[in-house]
Amino acid sequence: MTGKVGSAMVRGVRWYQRHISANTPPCCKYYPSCSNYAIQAVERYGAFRGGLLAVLRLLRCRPWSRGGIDDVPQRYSLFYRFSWSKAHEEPRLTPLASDTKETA
Amino acid sequence: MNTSGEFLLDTSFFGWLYKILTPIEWLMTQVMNLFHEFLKLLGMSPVGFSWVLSIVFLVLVVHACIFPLYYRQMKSMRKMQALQPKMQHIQNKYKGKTDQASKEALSREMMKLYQDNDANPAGSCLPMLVQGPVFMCMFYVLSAIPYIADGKRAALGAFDQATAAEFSQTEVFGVSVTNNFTTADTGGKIVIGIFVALMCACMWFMQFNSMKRNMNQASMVGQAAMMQKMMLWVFPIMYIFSGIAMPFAVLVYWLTNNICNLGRSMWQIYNFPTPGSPAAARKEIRDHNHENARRARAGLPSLEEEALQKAKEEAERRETQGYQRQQPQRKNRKKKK
Repeated sequence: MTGKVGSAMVRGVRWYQRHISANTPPCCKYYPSCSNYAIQAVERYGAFRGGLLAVLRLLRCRPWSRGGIDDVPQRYSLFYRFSWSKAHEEPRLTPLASDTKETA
Repeated sequence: MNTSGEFLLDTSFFGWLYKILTPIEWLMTQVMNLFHEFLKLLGMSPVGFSWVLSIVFLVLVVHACIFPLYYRQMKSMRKMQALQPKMQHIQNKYKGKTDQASKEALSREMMKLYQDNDANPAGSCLPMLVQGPVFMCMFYVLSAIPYIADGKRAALGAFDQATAAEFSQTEVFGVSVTNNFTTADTGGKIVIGIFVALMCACMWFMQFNSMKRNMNQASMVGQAAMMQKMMLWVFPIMYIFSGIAMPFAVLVYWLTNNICNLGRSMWQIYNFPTPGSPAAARKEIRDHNHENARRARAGLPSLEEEALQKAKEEAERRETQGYQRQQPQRKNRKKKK
């Protein structure tokens, strides 16, 4: 699924996680954290569409947002956070089997 | 006036940073100028105390803008403390499990808990990040004004050369606002010295107060306590060195800022003390008294009277029914035949 640009982006995010994020205390109001979310999104939906999701996620990380569990949607939609969207998912307490394989 | 060289803050990396922050700087100059116009309207002379009051006013405005963020953060912290038992419950559930899936499930469940209770530990990141640049901008604007007056730097917001010159001529307590400790005369040196001393005292007292009142005294032993006590002295001493190099306008800003910080920290210790600290114990007593006063006004028995009443009832029950506890029974239970 991921092309050249996508894998470059994933490598960039991994580099950030190893070298910058690892040196700072955990500070994220969402789960998975923005960088993990970006990796999942890009791997699932490619550089452009996944990147768009990741950017929206970054914009969601600000005061006056509630935070919490926010997974990459199974079905692509930019509006998946709204309950009227067909791609909307209830927050899952246990990870999907497909997600754990990637991170392990 | 010490404007012999070029404006150092405009060079190197910081120059680039301050260029990005220009909108905030612009806004600040406008606020200062507006308040200055207002003071002129009240009949104060355009050169003199009015500019110093404008600096004070600017600091107060910035603090008023940041305060709501602080308040939210305090409330969020209080919610987190209330959630502590539930958090421990979840942590115990996953105790000793180190596999990937359990770890992830743990984080997910914690997040769910935060989300359901509208509390978030990370919610407090941004106010801290916002604060730094804002205070840097204030510092920058005040340092830039003498250079604008000299024509060495382009106009910034409301400060064109004429306004900046007017600002630079300001003299209070016999010190020009652009003088620093080394360039001022003896009287000026004394005034600046007093300001620096007040600054240090504010800073010291703020740290001392939060250390004495707002910390769990049991944790104040060993290395950590030593570090705390060192810090108590390090910052004020650093202030002495930087205070000598700064122009008087910056010192005015700095002192006002420190007084505001002190006030805020005292407010925080009074209303949102750390659990387990002496301040928290005091707050408990205070809350208890408030509750009793409220009950007295409403004509209800006080907390102590209520406890006594309950104990008496319990004793009476024991007298009549003995020490055996009665098993609770379902109300609609079928009668035995």
